[in-house]
Formats: sequence, structure tokens, C-alpha cells
Amino acid sequence: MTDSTVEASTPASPSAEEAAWSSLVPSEEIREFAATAREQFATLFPSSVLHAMHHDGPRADAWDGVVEQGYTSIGLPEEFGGLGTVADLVAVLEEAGRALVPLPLTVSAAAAQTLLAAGLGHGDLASTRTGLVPRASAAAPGSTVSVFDGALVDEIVTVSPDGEVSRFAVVAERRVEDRAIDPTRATAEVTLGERLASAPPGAPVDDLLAAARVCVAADLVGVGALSLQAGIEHALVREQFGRLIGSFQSIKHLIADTHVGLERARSLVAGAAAAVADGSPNARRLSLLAKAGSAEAALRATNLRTQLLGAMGLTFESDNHLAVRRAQQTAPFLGGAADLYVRAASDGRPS
Amino acid sequence: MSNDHLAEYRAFLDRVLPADYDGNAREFRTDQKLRREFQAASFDEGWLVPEWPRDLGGRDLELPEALAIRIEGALRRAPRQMCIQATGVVAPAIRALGTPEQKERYLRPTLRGEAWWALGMSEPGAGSDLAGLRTTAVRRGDEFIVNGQKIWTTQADESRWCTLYVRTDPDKPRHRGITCLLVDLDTPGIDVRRIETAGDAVEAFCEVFFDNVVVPVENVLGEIDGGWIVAMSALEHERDMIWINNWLELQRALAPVVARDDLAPHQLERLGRLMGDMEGIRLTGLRSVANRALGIPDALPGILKVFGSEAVQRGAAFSLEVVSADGLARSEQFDEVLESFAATIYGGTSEVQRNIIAERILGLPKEG
Repeated sequence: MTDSTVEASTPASPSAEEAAWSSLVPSEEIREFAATAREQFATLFPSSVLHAMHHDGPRADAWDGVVEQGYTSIGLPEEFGGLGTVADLVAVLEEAGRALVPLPLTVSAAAAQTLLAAGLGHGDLASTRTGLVPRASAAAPGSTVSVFDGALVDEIVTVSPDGEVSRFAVVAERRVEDRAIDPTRATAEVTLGERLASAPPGAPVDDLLAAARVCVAADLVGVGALSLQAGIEHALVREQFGRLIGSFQSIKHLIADTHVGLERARSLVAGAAAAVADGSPNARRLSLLAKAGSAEAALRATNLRTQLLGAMGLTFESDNHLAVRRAQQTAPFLGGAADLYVRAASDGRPS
Repeated sequence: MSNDHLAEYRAFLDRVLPADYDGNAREFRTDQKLRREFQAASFDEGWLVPEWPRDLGGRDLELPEALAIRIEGALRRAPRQMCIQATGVVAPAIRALGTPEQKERYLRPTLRGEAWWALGMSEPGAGSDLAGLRTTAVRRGDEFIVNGQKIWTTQADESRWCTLYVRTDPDKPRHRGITCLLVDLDTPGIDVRRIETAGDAVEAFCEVFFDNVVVPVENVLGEIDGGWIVAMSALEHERDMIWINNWLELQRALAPVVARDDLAPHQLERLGRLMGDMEGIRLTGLRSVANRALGIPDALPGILKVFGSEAVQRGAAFSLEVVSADGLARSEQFDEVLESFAATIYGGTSEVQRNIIAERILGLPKEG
């Protein structure tokens, strides 16, 4: 639903058309789809699988099943075998985040959306594991790039500082970093192969990356939701001083504040996704705010859970560090919170 | 979403507001005649409570359409009602729980702005703990005899009417023996005293003393000993106007900051974060509207008050800091700071809000 008469709202000129709410809540169909995703991801990737990957590294064997179920098709245009919009995609990616899915699902969605923004969509968008490298200067066949969540990717999308977007094949050897923060989402050194497509600079980089930022933001909201829920569950069973620790007001307030921050992030993601889907001029600014807010919220939730668990949360055996690692690895990708808040505040102002 | 109603409302504003109103709203803030006439005209043309049924003065609009109308009014800085709690809290309560006679007697004058109401809830010993209130109402035939005191009562000195929360049964557990009475403040035995506030920017309030005040039994709103439900429903109404106003207040607080070209990076970061708060308030409010419109269980209102009120405080403080860059604090922004203090206190303090979020939304157990 696009209202082409809606002007870019700035901090100084909001409008009653901003009362448009219909794309902020996913359709019933998508909500059901996301609920199914939650179950399936939990079944495919229980924490035992994630723990094992800390020793053995991630595997791609679940990827084809994920593609078959349609999770990689959401938010792609019909002409490329997709359905729904970015507003629908974020519901699925939040579930991927919640399950700490150890596949480049979110980053492939981010890369695909970036290709689409640059007019480089292609028929294998839904099936190709793709990395995204922003700030790539002088990327060319044979050069080596550091790739976020790059261990299993078969293609790379690069975005140069001036907004040139390229799609590269990947030379088979990928070297995963030695001490990955999150072994299930490790950075990899990748050698670029053939340049498959390219678009010259056109739109501003922050426009090109708006949808990608929304994807990563949705993933972070999921990670935050997982950790908040786990923290609450712990507070509901752990007793000290003769009562549940969750009955103490100090604990309640920490949890409440984390919940508020997470809903703030979820709202920013929903608003940014709707703006991207509608082609609204607000998309750029909202995507910056969504990524910033979700990074903060995810870190806060994972920090809170660590605090609530006490020493138990600092063991390898606990599931806690899986989420801590995921949040810390992901938070700075496509810009950390402070940076993006500065960019959002600077947006549209004389520099 | 149809924009027809919005277009019609805009035409109404253009017709009813003075020609020089837009851009000069601040000047008209104290124009009581305009404010009263505007409210009456809004009600008469169905714009005051547009989601209400036509026979009660509304236009039967769906919630999102009514919301767009309210946002438009707020954006145009339309003249504020003289007594917002009357239309925002009392009228919905009377509509929901009043007898036919009470609705007939009070609804129209209240909505039209002719009957003003004070909310008699807090007492010196009962603020956050409203259930601890001690103003008593003893039954004598077909009357109650009321004794006690209320405080922080906004506009009690200007209102004819008061929704008064009293203890009618001292033997029942705290919130079970409370009744809501509709009280005529001209009744003998009532003494209203205005309290001087810390500054003009702090909203005026009063203390009200009740000395053997006679209130007819037919002035009970809802059930005898059923006043707690009235109080709780009162707190839920107008939830949308609160977040809309927080959103716009934050916008206005940030306007002088946004206009500057000399912001340091750390100030840009804070500005950006406050923009995130601003959009976060707006989008959370709209998600809540969407949930309600679609019949999806909605827990978002519970976070909006604490989130919105604290964001406004941060915004006002930041704005004062930025405009005071030369070392001299500016009074206009200080007024915004002063005004922002009350928002985390009334209608359930931020601390209480956090407890409610933790207990009712997230399932944590009560303390005792």
C-alpha cells in the first residue's frame, strides 16, 4: 500500500498520514508462517547442535531444507520466485534470530535485498548463500575480503563507499577466523571469484543498505527476545532468601526496562520494514534507527540474562554464551548503535 | 485507509479556527473563549469523540480513523480543551458504567465543555497506593455522609463536579470497599484550596476538604463498593492521546536542537537516540492500534506510559542543555523540563509501571 503523496517526514514535519498502521503488524498468514518457523528452527537447531558447532564449525546441510520451506523466499519479488514484502520478512528473521540459526539466512536475505535495491536481482536469490560486504573498496576478482558470517557463503555482494554494488562468485577456499566470537556466525576471509554483475553508484549507500539493516535488526530483536525470555524463566525458578528472585523489585525493573527497549526496537524494525516495503522516503532514517535500537536492545538483553544467571551463565555448558556471542558478533554489522544514531541525526541536515 | 474523514476534519479546522491561527498557536493558548467555542463546535460536529456512536455525539469512526483525526488535531495545535480529564476520563466512565439518568444528565454537558470535572483520587496518605484511601462515606438512608480530604486535585477550584473515590465499607479488604461518587462541588461542607506549585509550568492543583458532605445515593457511579473498577477503567481511557502527546512533545522539545548547525558528534548521537525514542513511541502506539483493530491480544499500552514520559524528560533535559551551550540556561526549555516531571508521577508512577509490566505482562510474581 503506497501513498505516493506522503512526503518525507522529518523531525519537524510529521503528518497524520503517519497514523497508517496496517503494515506494522504482519498478516495472519505470515504470523502463522513465523510460528511454524519458530517450531521448525527450534527442532533443527537445538542448543546441543549449536554447542557442537563450537567444536566442529557450522554446516550447510540444513540449508536446502530451509530453502524448501520457503523461508528464503519471503520478501523477494514474485518474478524471482518470492512472495510477501520486507514487512513480512522481518517476522521470519526475528524467528531466525530467536533460534540463533547457524546458517547465513539473515545475511543472505540482507544481501538479496541489497541486490534488489541496486537493480541486480536474479533467479537464484532464494537459494544462494550470500555474504554482504559494505565499505568494500576496490573489490575485484582475486581480492580477499573479510566477510561477516562468511564461512558457508557461495556468493558475495559488495557495496563500495560511493555506492557501487557488485555480485561476486566465491573461490572455494574460505578461511574462517581462528578465534571467532560466534563460531556459528564466524567472519571468514574469502577470495572473490568472477564478478557476476555490477551496478554503478546511484542511490546513497544508506538507501542501498536500508533493507539489509532492517534484516539484521530483525535478527537482533530475535536474539534479544530469546535472552529476555530465558532470563525471565530463570527468575521464575531460582530462589534465594526464601523466595523467587523474580519477586524482587530490582530484578523486575531490570527485566521491565529490557522489555521496553526490546519493544522499542521491534517497533522501529516494523516501521522501517513498512517504509522499505512502501518505498517511503522515511525508509533510510528508520532503517538506521532500527539497526541502532535493535543492537542496543539485544546487547542489553544478553547482558541482563548473564547477570540474572549468575556464575552459571558464565559456563560453557550454559546456553547463555551462545546468545551473548551471537549478539556481540552481530551488533556492529552494518554500523553500531552510536554510529547509526549519529547518521540518523545527521540525515537531511546540512553537513 | 480512507482519507475522506481526515479531509473533512481539516476543512472543519480551516473553517472554525481563526485565519491567523496556524503558526500562532502559542499565542492562542490562553484564549479561553476560543478554547470553549472550539470544543463546543468540535462536539456539535462529531469531532470531539469521533469513535463514539452518533447518538452520543460521535461519528462511529473506526479506531484508526479516529486516531488520524486526533493526530491531525494535535499536529495543528488545535485549541486544547479547558478540562481534559472531563472528556478523557469522566465521560467514558459515565458512558460505560452510568445509569441512563446519569448519562442523560452529564454526558452532553461534559463533552461540550460546559460541565468541568475534577478527579478526587489521591490523598496525602494515598498516592501510588490508591487503595489505601481514607475518605469515608457513611450511608444514612438515601444519602452518603462524606468526610475526608483529597489532594493534587487538578481544577477542583474551577470545576462544578468531581468523581470522588470514598471508602464505603471499612470492613472489606482495601480496594473492595471503595465507591465512586459523582459529587457537586457546590455542596455545603466542601472546601477547595489551590496549591501553589513550584512554577507556572507545573500544572495547577488543589486540596479539597470534605466535612459532613451530603451526597445522594443516586450519585454512585457503578456499584456501591464497586469503585475500584471505575478507577481502573478511568486509567485506561485516553491511552492513545497520551502517547500521541508524548510523541509530539518530544518533537517540539527537539525542534530547537534539530535547527542548530553546530552540534558536536556526541550531541548528534544523543539526538539520534531521542529520534529513535520519538519514532519508537509513535510506532509502538500504532502497533497497539493495529493490534486492537485486528483483534490481536495487545500488551503494548503497558509500556507506552513509562517509555513515552521518560523519553519526553530526556528530550526536555537534552534540549535545555543544548540551548544553554553558552553557559546561560534558558527559561523556555527549563519550563519544559519542569513540566515534564509530573508525567512519570501521575497516572501510575514509572516505578509502579515497571512493576506492572514485570508482573502482568511478563509473569513475574508479586513481592509479598
